[in-house]
Amino acid sequence: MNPLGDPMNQPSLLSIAVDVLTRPDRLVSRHEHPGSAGAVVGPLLVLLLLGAGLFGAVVGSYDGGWQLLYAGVKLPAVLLLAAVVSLPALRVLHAQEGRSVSTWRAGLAALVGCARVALLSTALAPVFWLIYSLDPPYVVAILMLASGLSLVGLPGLVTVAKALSPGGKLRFGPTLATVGLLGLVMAQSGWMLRPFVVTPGAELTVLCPRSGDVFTGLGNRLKGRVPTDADGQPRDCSSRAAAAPERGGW
Amino acid sequence: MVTWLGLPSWAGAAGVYLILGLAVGALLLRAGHPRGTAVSALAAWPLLLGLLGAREAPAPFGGPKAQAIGRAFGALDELLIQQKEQGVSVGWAGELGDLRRALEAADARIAMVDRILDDLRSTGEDAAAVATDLAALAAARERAASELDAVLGGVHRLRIQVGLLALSEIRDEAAQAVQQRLRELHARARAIEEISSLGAGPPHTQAAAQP
Repeated sequence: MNPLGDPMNQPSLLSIAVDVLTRPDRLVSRHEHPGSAGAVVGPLLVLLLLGAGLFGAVVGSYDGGWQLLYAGVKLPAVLLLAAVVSLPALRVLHAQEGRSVSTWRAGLAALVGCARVALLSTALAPVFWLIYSLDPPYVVAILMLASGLSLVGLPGLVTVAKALSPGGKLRFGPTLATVGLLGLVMAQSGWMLRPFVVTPGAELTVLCPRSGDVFTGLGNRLKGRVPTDADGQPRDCSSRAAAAPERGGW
Repeated sequence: MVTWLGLPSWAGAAGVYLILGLAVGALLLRAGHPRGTAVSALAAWPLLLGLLGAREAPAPFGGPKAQAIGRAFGALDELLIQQKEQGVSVGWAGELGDLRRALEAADARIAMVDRILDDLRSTGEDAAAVATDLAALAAARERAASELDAVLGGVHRLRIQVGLLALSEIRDEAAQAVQQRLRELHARARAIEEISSLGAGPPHTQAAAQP
């Protein structure tokens, strides 16, 4: 049996969760040799899927039913998709003086960063559950989701930047670029895979048709505008509910 | 809705992603990575591509000293990370990884010899004919195991030396001494391979293991 897979040396899920929250860069440094990957890859993925899945299910509870499952699957996918898409660019950003970040270290940094976002979002889940149970208006629910994800996303993105930096030292330029790039890709991935918070009365779909970028879409939504096509039909799947009665019992 | 081969486009894309994940997972298993890592590839294979073809893939079998090796290097790794955080740079982390792999390989060979010895002893066929070879193999195994213990003792002493490095006033000189010690240990770890393959006596005596 491999020593790294030995029960004596295998860190528990709980100890990895603690490391992800308290010293994520040290966790990356400790396992940056591919030989020790087996000890962390599985647990990190479990934390990511459980944490983000739980938060997704809570967000999906705004509409309930199948949306609990859809949002629970889609939120972990948003985190993974953003990491996968951005990783090559992030490696280039953090290459310094001929020292490039190894492919494995970059992948591990992304996994740890995503797991951190997932765990922090789990901490927010009870607050969201409580507020969504009070039946807030749709716009408030959307705003809460965007601000909540920004709040828990920032520490995860900084974790990725720090883990990718040679020597673990944060440098202003690459850190800003990492947070900006990963944040934008994450926001757009979320927009592509929506809906998370379904407009009241809207037909429930797994995915919405492609429609513009996240900022335009969110802006339109907050202003109550309904994007339509040439025939005057709503372009956005959950905008079909624009005529539906507005929620907001608080 | 956009369709692809009669399926919604998202289902097609997810299917392709899963198939690629299966392929990466199979390659990881073949490279000796644990099953958990291979299964994880189904969900996050693009992040695990760095594990493919990495020369640091774990040894396929651990031996009787696996836990001791894991503990010794785990403690040393932890110390090095702490020193790095305090600004004490060490340029020989790669050599340390090489030493660990050499010891793990030696440990795996000892495990293989153990399995052969167990097998021969349990069958008991024509015991007299193989008794001499069996004794030679067992003796070679013992020499390799004691040499492995001695190198592990050296790794523990190296940890103390690295700890002192942070307090040393002549840091460059102390770092060179650590590096020298590391090279000695690596040479001894490589020598264990010769013991296993030739059945010869250890090229380094126990006394040489002392600091």
